[in-house]
Amino acid sequence: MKTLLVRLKALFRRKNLEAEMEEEMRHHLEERTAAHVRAGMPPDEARYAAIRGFGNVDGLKEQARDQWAFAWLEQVLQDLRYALRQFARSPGYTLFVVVTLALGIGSTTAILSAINATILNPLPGRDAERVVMLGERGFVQGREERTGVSPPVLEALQSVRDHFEATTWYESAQIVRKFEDFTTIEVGAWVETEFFDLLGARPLLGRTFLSDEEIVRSGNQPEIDGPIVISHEWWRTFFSGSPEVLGRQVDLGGRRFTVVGVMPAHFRFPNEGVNYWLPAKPERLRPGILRAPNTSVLIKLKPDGMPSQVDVILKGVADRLMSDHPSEVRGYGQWWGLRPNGLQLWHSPLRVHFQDGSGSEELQRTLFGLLATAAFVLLIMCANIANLTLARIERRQHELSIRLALGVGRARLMRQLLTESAVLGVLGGIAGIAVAGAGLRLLATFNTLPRLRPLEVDFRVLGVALLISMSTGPLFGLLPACRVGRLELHRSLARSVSGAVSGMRQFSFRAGLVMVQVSLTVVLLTGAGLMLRSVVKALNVDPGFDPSNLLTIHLNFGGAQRRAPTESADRAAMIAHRNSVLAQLVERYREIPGVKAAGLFRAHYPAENAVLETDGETVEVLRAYTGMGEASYFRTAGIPILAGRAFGREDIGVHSSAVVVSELMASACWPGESAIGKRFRTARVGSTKIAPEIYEVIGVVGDVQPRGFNEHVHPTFYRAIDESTLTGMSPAVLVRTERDPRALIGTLRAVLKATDPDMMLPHITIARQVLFDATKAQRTYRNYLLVFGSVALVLSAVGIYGSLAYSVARRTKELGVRLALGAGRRHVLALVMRDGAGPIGVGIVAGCVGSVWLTRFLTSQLFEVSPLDPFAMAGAIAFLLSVALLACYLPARRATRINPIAALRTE
Amino acid sequence: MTRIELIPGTLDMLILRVLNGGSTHGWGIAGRIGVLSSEILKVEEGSLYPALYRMEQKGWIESEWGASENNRRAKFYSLTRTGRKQLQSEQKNWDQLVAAIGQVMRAT
Repeated sequence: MKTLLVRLKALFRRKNLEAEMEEEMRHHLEERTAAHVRAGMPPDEARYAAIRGFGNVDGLKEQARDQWAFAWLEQVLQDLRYALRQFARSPGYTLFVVVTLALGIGSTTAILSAINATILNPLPGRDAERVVMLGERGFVQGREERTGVSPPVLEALQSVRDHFEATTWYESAQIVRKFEDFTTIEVGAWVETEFFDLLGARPLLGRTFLSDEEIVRSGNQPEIDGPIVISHEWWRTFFSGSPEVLGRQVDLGGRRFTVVGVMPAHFRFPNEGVNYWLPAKPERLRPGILRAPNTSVLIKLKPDGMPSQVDVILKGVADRLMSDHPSEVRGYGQWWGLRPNGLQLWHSPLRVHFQDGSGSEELQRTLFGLLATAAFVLLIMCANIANLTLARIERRQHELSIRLALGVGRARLMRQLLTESAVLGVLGGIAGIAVAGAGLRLLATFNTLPRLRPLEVDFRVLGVALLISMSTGPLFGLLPACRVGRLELHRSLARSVSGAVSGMRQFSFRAGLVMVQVSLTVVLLTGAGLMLRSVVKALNVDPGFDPSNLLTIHLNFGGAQRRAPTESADRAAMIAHRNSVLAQLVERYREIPGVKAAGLFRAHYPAENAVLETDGETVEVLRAYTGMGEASYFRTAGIPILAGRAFGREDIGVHSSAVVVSELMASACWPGESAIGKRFRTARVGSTKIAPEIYEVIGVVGDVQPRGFNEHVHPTFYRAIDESTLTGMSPAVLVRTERDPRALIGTLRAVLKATDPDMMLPHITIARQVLFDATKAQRTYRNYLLVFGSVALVLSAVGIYGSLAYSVARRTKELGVRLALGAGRRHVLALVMRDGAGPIGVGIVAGCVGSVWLTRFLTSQLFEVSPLDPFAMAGAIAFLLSVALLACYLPARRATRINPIAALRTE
Repeated sequence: MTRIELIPGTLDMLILRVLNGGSTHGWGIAGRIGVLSSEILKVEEGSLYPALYRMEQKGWIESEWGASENNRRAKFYSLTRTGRKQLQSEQKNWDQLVAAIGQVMRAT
């Protein structure tokens, strides 16, 4: 330890120590002189004798210095200075390498950091793992689905809140906003007052909600004025980002809200389009009025809380609710009783739910695809750097050989080269951080997924990328450097004979690298091309109907209609009443100017079994009703009729046996034959009792996917009636308008209110919007791919061009000789191109083989695109050929243009 | 009295022994060795100072600037605890070595 201290001291206080040593020697010398004088010598002679006796002072000093020196550190500093001088001397090379490094490191870091923030670790804060989402296991269209909770469940959860550290909930809000005479629905969220605190989300300006600020609601619409927290987007659009926004007013749904806070740009929860948050009280439980389970509940577990405890607690809540709401009474109990296992609650960490919700397994596969792309980009970057380093060392052979001959020692030389690589790596890394930052900002604008935290550079990723890049240079650059020392010494020294002859061995190594670069690029571009094509296909999937200018109005019967009576006569009366209301409504809608068509639709659940008349086979199908208008639903929605006909006047009504089946049902029930004229009956799933009605198929229509391209499609049959039972899903009216449907929303609502004043506020969706929202993961992915792919393109182009151009430039002297000896210019050009074509051709072939083999792994990601799709590969090859062609041609042209004498003189 | 060259490796031990008697400067150490050995052993400056610096690095001796007998600034060296231990061990080794060699030489 003492040794270390002494050495450190020596390093920093060198001058001091030197002075001390001088003084010590001087003292010794004087004493000696004095001793000689005492022995009788004259002073001059004494001094000479002393000096002679003393010996070699400088040698002593040198030895002493050796004891002190932190030798290797000094050498490193020396190496650094030398390296920097070298870089200054060849700025082109330095720039090339730094740019390559920056692009490679920066882009990989950006993409992986983005993935980290949106998919892997979407929640901020250290407690993120403890945030858990709850809900009911619902039953939608015959399939089990995770929904939110309904009011009684929410209320029951309040009673167990002490088991958790915090509880909160939220619902989506859709409130009308009028400005000028245009009415829009603004999407936002009703949140419990602790919502932001539980998520650890802090506002950019102002504050979030206090616990007594809740706004009373009715039917999800605000009843009073109150505070509002707005999104960054709204702040920019309506208040121009002015810092004076706090205290200003926003009008929504006929009420006035005061802005108390603004959320930062990255906070887009619970969904990407959320514009505002309002503090809400839970909806009161009103007898006879059932609300769908739309409330999402979040809890924060105590620090020692375990998921199994949550299981137990939730089961207790569910059981208690089932016994409080018996299933034979109308109301929630009956609803829950329809489910296979009664009321059941699910829970999962919010992070998992986030990942699932943002595209389900799609995003997991996306992750794989992007990671693979990132790996390739890094590989290409490494190949580029390797090639550049090799080229450089080749150039410096002369200098290196001289240094070796002077006795530098190979180890020292290696260390020198290592230092250079390290410095370049650091420079590239710094530039890479800048690129990563810019890249992330770019990605943030593309990203359409809900987010809770900002996209920021993840330094772990940066570190790994940096490590990889810094080790490539030395790895590839030093291998041939070893050989430089050993063999080529005499040849390199006699530089004048060099040219095409020496460096041949290095050249083939570099040719090999070019091959590697080319093949990597081919594979990468093919893969990226395939993925892009797949995404584009997914975005353009035909939903089976025409979504332009189409609105869906989901109705909710209210008031007296809410409570289904027990007497069958009363029920029949209610059904008749509803039917008349619906018929009136559709008729009135058709009469509104600007409305092209209107039709009624109602799906049923749970699924039933269709029992085929021909052979008694059963197929699980869904039933749907399309109202009393003739074919109005199909016509309004633009669903093509594939065979037979749609409903005519004689097919309408409860007594008609006519049904129209979907294409999927036709092929499932009667494969290979026409479905027209076929008959079937129905039975409940799990029961052997077959209903007496016989249905006959009169037409086949296409399948529809109104909720997105990956919505699960069920075999469906349609009947032309309005209502025959009082349970199940509410009816919906489809309206197609001439122009932008949003302009008519107000009118539609007004007509609805006029037709049935008791009806609750309808939930209106725009078909295009729904389809668009379903593809947000795909669109994000596509944008990421585009950005990343472009970077890879640039990197490859730069790298390949650089190496090829350099090889050609090196042969300037040889070409000059050829020209001087009388070779035709074109002949020389052809020679160069041919030599360049070698490694490129091999590289392309290898790349094609590689992609054929590797794209197999992409199959799970590709949507309707075969992994052997030729377009992607053809594109990649075309790109590479053009780059390579340019890389060979341009420098060759330049070389052949030079006066042969000048060419001969170049080094 | 012919001067005999120092056996390599023994200089350190001699220096430690001298310093055990009290701290002194480089000139003083050379002088003392000469005096104690009755001028048979002569220490060259070329070996003395490197040895001193080396031993200082190893922590056997430490140095301090002070005033010499003629009031000149000189660097005084003194023994450390580690140095004392080193002296003991080297002394022991030396004694054993001498005894062994002696035995061999005296054997008939």
